[in-house]
Amino acid sequence: MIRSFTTRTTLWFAALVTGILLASLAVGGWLLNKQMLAGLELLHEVESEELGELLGDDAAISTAAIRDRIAHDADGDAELFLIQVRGSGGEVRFRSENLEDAVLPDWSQRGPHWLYTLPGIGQVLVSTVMAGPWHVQIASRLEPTHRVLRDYGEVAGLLLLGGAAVSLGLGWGFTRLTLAPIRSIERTARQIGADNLSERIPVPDGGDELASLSRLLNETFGRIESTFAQVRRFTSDASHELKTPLALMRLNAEKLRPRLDSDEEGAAMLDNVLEEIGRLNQIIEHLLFLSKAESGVLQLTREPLEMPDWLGDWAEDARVLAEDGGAEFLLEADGRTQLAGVPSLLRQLLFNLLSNALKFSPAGGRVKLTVKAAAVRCEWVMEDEGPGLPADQLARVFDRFVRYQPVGTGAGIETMEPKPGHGLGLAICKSIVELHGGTICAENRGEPTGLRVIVTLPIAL
Amino acid sequence: MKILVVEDERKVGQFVTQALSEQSYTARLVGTVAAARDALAESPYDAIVLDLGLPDGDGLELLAEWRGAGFNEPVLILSARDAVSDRIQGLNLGADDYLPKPFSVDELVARVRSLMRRQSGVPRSTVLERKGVRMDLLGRTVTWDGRAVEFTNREFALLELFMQNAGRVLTRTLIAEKIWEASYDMETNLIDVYVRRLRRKLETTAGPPRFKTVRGTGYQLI
Repeated sequence: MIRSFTTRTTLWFAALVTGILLASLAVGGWLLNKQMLAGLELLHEVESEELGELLGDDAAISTAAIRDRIAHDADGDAELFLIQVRGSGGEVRFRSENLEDAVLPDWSQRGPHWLYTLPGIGQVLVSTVMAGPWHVQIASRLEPTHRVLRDYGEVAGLLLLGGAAVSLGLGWGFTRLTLAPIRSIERTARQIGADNLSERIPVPDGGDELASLSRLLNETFGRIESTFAQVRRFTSDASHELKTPLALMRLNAEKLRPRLDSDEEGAAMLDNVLEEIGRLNQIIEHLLFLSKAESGVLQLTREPLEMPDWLGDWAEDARVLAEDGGAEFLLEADGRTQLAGVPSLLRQLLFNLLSNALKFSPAGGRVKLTVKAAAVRCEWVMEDEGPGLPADQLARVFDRFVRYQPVGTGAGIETMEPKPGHGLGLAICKSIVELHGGTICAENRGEPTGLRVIVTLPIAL
Repeated sequence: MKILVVEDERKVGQFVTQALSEQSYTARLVGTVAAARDALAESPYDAIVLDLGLPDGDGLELLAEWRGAGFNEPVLILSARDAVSDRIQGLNLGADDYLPKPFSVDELVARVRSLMRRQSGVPRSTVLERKGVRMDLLGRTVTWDGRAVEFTNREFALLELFMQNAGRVLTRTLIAEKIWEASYDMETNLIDVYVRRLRRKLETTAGPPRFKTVRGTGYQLI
């Protein structure tokens, strides 16, 4: 699976160039072979004419006379030619020494030139020429021709490899060069975030494809910008629209209270109404917070916070809360650092993590917060001694409205008093961590069992 | 004492003005930025209760305008919008207090009264006493019927808040804000836990309760 466009284009380019090179070299080889055979045929014709002249026109001369007339010449060219002479009746009258036992067949019906494999000698090109009464057959070994072709093949192979390498490099460079404007557009687009949505990609001169792409992207950013503005307006409107009736409900309910002083049941119902109004308000607050955090509309003032000193006050509250829940809270610090954070949000994060840990802690269980300071980040690890979570819920636990079921919902859990919650606490944690540019994850502890939530915050001042 | 209530939701505004009137303040209700400007130009007011989302403008702009023009009386912001940023922005612009909707009318009255008291410069006592409990704010000591009782810093601060507002219902919002500087619910039962600790130290099983639970709202020091 090739993912990068550059890689894909480069490979296509290289394949194309190499293919063309391969075709050219193959045609070259074929032409070379043809040329060499044609050269041999020409030589054969010249030699046959020469032999014909030496043999003369008298077909009746003795075999010794034939040998006498042409043996010298045949011997001189023994390296090049294998010579056989037939008489007008087709009978073999002379065979040069280098033919040894082999006989060239009489294949005149195949034309003047043909290929034949001689036992013990190999493939040869045979030419047959009629010279007066003589039927001169001249053959040449093709082995040298084959050697030349083999050498050509080797050189061609090397050329092909080199060509492939060069075309890869060229293709890559060319693609990069072509894509340079696209990359610059990509860089600019990447820099445009929620806080600088009004920025635009500079449109290159002219009406080419890049200019139109830039314009298209800019239009898209324009639409996103107006959507963001709508989100901002919506959250503001929604809170107003939802909370005003809520305020009236509360005001009316409170006004009703003195009238129900003598009615115990009525007063209890009214208290329920007031509690639910409070809960509803909390859910609205949390949903608005999440939607604002996600759309990047939230304006945050960060302060430098000394770790672990800053946690001191909070840890005191944590101990009190843990004690109340029949558990024990421990703060462990490893190293010191300073991180830039929004104190109210980080405190909220810690409270949410703590109440979650306490919710599932057994009686006498220990909840521990470990603060580890490293060069570039600060880690908060909250561990409880509850039952932990099934593996498939670990990743989803930070989603909104997820109420998780601990491992083995058996003894211990049911006896715990269910604490109020609406499944947004951990979603808010994730949101707060992400606003600080950090990460949050949950995992199960080994022995003893329990859930471990790890928050990693970058130290960027 | 005259109080101007700027609130566009008529029913909410009526609740507020009625409650303030019951406390013998003179309250006037207006529903728009323009009407608020006119009202303040017409006659002086001792305090303003200001809603932020108004049909013809933003309450924060109005506040900046008043503070710029030298209006120094206390202003309490009432808002249905984002608690965190509005609160900070409002206080930066010169508001004296901030109350998020939905609010309890008792709390609103309490806050207005406390703002007026601060304004009139009545010195706060450094020793608070109620039903046998004596709290020395300077010496940071508490005695109950002459016996010393130990408190942590948080418990002491919470007790002080109750003693300063004895007899009044304190909402969770107010307690969270004053003691934990939290602008919204901490999503824990922290307040209940601390009140329980105060009870353990200052109540006997035999005697009447000192800290009364007002369900759905908060607590009240009897």
